[in-house]
Amino acid sequence: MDSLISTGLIGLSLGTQYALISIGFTLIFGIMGVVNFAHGGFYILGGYFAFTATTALGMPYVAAVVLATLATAVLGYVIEMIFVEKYVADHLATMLITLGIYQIMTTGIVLSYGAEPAEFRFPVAGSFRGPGFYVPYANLIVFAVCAAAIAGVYYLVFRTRYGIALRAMADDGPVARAQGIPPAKMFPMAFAIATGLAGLTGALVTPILALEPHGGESVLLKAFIVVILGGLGSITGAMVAAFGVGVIEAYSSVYLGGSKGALALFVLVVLILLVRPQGLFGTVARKA
Amino acid sequence: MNRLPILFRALARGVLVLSCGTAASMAWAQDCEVKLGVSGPMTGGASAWGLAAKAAAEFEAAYVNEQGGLPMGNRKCKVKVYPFDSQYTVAGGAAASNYFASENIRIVAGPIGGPEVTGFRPVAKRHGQINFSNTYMAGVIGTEYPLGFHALQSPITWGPILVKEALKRFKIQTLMIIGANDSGGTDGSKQLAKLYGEQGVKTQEEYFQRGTTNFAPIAQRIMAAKPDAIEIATMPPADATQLVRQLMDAGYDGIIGALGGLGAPPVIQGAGGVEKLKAYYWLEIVPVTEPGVDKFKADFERLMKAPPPPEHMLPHVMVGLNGDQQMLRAVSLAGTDQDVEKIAAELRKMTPESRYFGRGGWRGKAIYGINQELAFPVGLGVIQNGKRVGVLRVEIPAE
Repeated sequence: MDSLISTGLIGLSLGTQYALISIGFTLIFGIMGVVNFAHGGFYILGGYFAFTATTALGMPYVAAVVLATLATAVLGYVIEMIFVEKYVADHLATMLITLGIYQIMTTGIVLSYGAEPAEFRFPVAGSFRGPGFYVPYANLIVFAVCAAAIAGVYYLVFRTRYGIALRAMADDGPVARAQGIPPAKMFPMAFAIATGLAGLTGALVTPILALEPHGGESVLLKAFIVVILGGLGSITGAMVAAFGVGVIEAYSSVYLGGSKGALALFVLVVLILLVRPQGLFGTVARKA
Repeated sequence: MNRLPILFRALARGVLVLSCGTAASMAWAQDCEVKLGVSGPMTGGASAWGLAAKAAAEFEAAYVNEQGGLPMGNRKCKVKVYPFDSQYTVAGGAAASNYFASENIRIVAGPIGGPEVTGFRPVAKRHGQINFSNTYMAGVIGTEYPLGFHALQSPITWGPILVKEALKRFKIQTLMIIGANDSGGTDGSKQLAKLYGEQGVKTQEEYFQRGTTNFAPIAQRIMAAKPDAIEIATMPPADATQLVRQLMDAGYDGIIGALGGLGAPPVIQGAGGVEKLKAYYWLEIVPVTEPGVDKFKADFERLMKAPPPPEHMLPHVMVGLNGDQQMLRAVSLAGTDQDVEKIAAELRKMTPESRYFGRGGWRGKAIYGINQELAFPVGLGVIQNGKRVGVLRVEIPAE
């Protein structure tokens, strides 16, 4: 029973992290039709930006997280304008471009910081202990910030004119353009929001887990699982799938062990996709 | 009319002076080069081990080159290092061997991880490469691969001695061994289970998916199993740091052991300091408190014009160095870096010797059927009740 509660809390904690990273990933695909292979790179860059800001610049951690979020957002904006925008209609080209950008990012990090993991710790230590469970304070803080960020994204996408325009682009690009929605403004901004979210997640999560140059690969893999399960392009789907994956991963790892737990997760994903190939909340085919 | 011969004489003198100068400045190089390949994980969680192997080879090359080069018959050749990131994978190990073949490299330091060795060996056998691997993989050397040498003794060698020493200090009846679910983790974990089991400890193995970044579920399983101690020797340093950190969050206050290549720093870092650790014992793959280690550090600073390798990498650098020194000695005695049979024969004939630890020996016949494992002393480090107790020197007998 003790581990049942603790495991559930671990699952929720994992779920919020997966949700935040996956929302950005699915946002880019939903609006632009781009599978952003550099998404994990922005996550790691967020971690390194925050690390540099706290260690080299001596900034407080909170300010470093804000800086990392803004820096990755700006970088995402610039990268979209320079490299992605021109080929946005060509899925294969954008895949290769973003993959190349990811390679440049990781190699750049290795050259700048070395290949070994950086010693980056969350500023708050210790755990909250209740009857039969514990939650590290760091996880609670990350949970709260991620939840706030997710709420912010929801507000932006579903409650603002900009969000309506974004969803219009995602639903039917040509019609949205005909209505006067300019893709040249929408796409870079959507890309910046997504990469900023990845940077925010990296700045928050890497001090709890590990900050190392190739850490983005496992994050990208998890984001893939989440968005495919949730339905490519569906923000709600990504949210639900992220929590589902987090909780299943936690329970299967704790009760079946690390190896069998990982296997259980993948088997479950495959089974769900057999029944619903479009994912939990995906539509059968993307129009744009 | 007489001007032309004078001009020629002046030109001839100039050419002579120039060629003498060039010859003097290139006295050690003489257009010959000994190519030393290094294979190991240089990125990712296990990068500390691969980078240590690279640092060792680069240091040894710099040391030899400072003496004018490696004596090869009547010449002295420059030693050049060719590193390859084999990424702790089977495919990476095979790719390393192919890369070395493409560069005409036949002497190799590494690979480091079990999966890398698995991929490297058959390809290296085909390419005719000789290597000093540095892993705990079962059957790392054997008669099937006569050009494979081993720089690091496996748990099976020093295990019985160190487990006995650890059990003298700590009361351990149940032990959970944590490792990755590939040959790099399972081989070492099974060897450890056998070693502890033989001394009456009840063991349980727990495996995680390689690449795991969040160890909270594993920590949860450990807390639920309530073992007296956990063994994390086969975990890469970054993973071990993460596991210990999350174990501490979960409230773990049991004993931690690492009779493997992990060393002390990853666990101390994960715990948040020595004072936070109740009980930790670990293998030092070299006795790090020996005076030879201080001499190495001084040599490293002087030659590489850089601070000595950090604490968590230092023992791995020195183990790699033990292998590199023997390899280059054998190359020198054989007078070739291409005829691997000749180099292997020289290795088998020689008594291993380290500049920093003195004379060693060969062993391995009893375990692997082939006497190609270096025998230099190791150490047992102990932290008890938040204080460093010290490092005990443990001799490894030759065969």
